[in-house]
Amino acid sequence: MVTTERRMDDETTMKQAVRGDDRALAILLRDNYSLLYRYMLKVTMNKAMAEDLVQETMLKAIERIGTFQLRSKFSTWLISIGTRLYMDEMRKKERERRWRNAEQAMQSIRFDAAMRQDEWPEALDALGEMPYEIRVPILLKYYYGYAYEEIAKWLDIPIGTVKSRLHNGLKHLRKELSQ
Amino acid sequence: MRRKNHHDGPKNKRDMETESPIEGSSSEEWEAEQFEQLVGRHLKQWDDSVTPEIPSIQSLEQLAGDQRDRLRGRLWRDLLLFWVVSGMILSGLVLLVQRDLKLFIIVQVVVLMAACLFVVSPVVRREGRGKWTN
Repeated sequence: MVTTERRMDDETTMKQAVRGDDRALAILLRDNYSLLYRYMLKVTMNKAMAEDLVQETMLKAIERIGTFQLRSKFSTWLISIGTRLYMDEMRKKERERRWRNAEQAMQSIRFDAAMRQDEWPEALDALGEMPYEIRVPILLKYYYGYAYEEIAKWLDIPIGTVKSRLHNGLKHLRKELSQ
Repeated sequence: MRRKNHHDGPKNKRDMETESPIEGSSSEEWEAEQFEQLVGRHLKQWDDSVTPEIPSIQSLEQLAGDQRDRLRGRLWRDLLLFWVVSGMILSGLVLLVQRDLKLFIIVQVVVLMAACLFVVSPVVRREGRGKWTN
């Protein structure tokens, strides 16, 4: 009952936001902020880049809210925007060079974990060291549970490529972690 | 928002090293299980430990308002630019008709062909196909 009411509230807020209500849009952005930030952090493995992309995703969402057709959850829409922005950024050679110091970015994340007295597992290092074209579909499929079709659409690649990247990525992870 | 979540830790090395035994949807499930064993629970722990500073509704509302104003400003600037450029092109064409009709026709044919090529080009057709409309 509570879930149904919540869903109706969300739907009403989404409809208001699409009609141009800034407050409704602000509520949706706030409610999904943590999820988006955590997703971008896992995808980029780079705190500074994740923060930049969260901001860019929010600006893009504000710009495009009128085109949101309520066919998916608002969080899914944000994740699709964030994924596309990240892939576009990585495809741009110049920007890629700017973020090339991936090891430094990973060290910063490890440092944050150490400050919180959390253990930084080898598995996350292995995930961070994978090429972004493989890490992104792996997270979207196995961690967030999205369908092959959605992932293929967001990454602008054929479904077969998604499947092979998932298969090879997992094989690589298995190999790395069994050594 | 996670749709799937199994939290079994890695059982043992041999489990990790086994190859996918079956084809199709069972293989998909097997791969998902493998992911959980290898990285899933670590990612979940990391996720739980990350607590971003969430902006207030007021600041997000302000951001939305400012962004809309910026976009509106950009739209007016683009429209103005469009009219200025259109005016210049039209004036140029009128001058050309008055001076040399043959050259005017050649220019028109070349522009028409370029426009047709641009419209049918696969790059244009692919771009923005339902990109932000989910």
